Amino acid sequence: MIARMKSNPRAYVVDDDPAVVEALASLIGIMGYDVNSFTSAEEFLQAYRPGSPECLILDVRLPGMSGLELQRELRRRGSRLPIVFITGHADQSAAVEAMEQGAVEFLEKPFQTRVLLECVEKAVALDEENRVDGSNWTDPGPSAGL
Amino acid sequence: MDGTTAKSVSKGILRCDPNEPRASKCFSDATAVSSDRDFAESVIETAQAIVLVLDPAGRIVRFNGYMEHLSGYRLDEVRGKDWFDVFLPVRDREPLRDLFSQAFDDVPTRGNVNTIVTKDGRERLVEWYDKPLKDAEGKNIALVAVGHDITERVQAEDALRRARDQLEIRVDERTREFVALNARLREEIAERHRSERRERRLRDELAHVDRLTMMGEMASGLAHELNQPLAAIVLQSEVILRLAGDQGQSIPPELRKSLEFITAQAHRAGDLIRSMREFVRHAEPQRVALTVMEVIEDTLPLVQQELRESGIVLDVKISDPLVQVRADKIQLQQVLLNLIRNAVEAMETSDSGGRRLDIATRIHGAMQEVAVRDTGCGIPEGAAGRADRLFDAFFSTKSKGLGLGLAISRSIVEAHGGRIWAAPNTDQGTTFTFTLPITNHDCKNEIESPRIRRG
Repeated sequence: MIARMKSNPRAYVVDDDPAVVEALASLIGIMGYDVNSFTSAEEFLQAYRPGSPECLILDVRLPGMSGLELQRELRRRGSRLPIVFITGHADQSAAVEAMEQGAVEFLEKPFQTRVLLECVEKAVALDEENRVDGSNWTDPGPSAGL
Repeated sequence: MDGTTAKSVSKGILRCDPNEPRASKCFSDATAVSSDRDFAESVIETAQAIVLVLDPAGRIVRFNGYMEHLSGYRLDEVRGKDWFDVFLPVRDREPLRDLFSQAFDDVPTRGNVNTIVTKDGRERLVEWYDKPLKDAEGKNIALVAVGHDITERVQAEDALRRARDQLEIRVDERTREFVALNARLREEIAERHRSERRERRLRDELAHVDRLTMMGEMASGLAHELNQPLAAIVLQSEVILRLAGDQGQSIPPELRKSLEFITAQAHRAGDLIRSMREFVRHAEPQRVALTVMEVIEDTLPLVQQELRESGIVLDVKISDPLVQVRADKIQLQQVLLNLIRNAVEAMETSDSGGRRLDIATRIHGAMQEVAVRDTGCGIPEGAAGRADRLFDAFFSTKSKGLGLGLAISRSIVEAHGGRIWAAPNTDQGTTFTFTLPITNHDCKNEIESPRIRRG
């Protein structure tokens, strides 16, 4: 296994409610993650450059492209970016689809912070595993990225 | 006068100089007597009535030209014959013979009517005016009868009477028809009013249901919106904790406690919203194995405020907390809420000191019983004796509400294989009880749906 300089884990936050975005960004920032926040899926897609290790905290209900649609789009592009879904709307069918499409977890607001942080850790760990497998689409190759 | 005149007279024409005063010139000489007689003859023959003379035996002495014309008989055909035999119908002969002899008793008869039969067999009705003719010694020598043919008149009278009767009958019929029509119209109007009232009530109920649906939608939207700031509150409280901890010192316990309190309250708000929203949104029933206790626990927060405000003391006794039934949680919640709300309303008028709500469960055979007991005003008057009417749709003794709560509750309970009933308490108030079949303890959940984590 090739040793790599560990960069800070990165977390993307996509939620259209500014209060939630700010609170999430603050908390996850304090926990040592690099946080990038967006209030729409389109903004995120434009800015997203795969890095490592990382995860996505994603709201279901968004203006324009929805959270589920973003999940599908990422898969279509071959990305295995782990996603933790959060929602203010207890939608059973959305939960089912999200999980079937490989989400790490589906949380309903207000959720316990402990649970959220656990999920984020789990997601980032998953991303690292994927990276080691070489199955992350952004991995340019084992010899790079030292 | 000469013979010509006599002949003329017997035909009823008196030839006389019209310019001469009658009394003097025409009857002054020897022929005066025969002139008088001729005159008398003319009078009789001219008279427009029957002039009939019968002898005391009832035989025809003479009758006038009017009678000849009316009866079809010439006088010489029937002179001397028995009047009754010739002219009367068989049925009348004897009675009228009696009447005839009475007429000779010097009682003038007038207005008797009888039938005479003409030569060609037709019957005519004649009204008679009779008087006996006596000789110088006062002996009856003849009966002089004057008769009026009243056949047409009588027929006309009959026809008129019949017409009048017919008219009365028709008027009666018409009146009856109108009365019946009137009654029908009144009934139709009443029915239309009833329809209109029914329609109004249905429209009101529809509007109510519409409002409920709309409120359901609003509640759903509101819930979603409320969850955002709640999430933010929880997260920020945690941020404060972490930031405070970061300074290297331990956080004062009061500060930690306060922040944890804030977090707990936010979660509590979230739970309330979730309960209410699930309740409102609920679409398809999903039967899972659950305990009645957990349903009661989920339901109580929704009514705690109401109970507090009404000063109702609540007591919950779960005899077998782990016993499971297979049921749809939201629907059971609905039943419980309905019973609890009814209990609260029943106790509105009770002494504020004595308001108690007891919820108790027990096992009874293969069923779990849940009893909701109140100390309220009891089963309403309209349903007394027919307690099952309470559960009928649209039966309501309250001025507000659809009257559907208990009907829905019954549907739900019976769909689950249970029963629901109400009974008055021995002291005060009512107990509503429903049963649910107990399920096996090792049955898995029917629906293996990924439970949305609340954390």
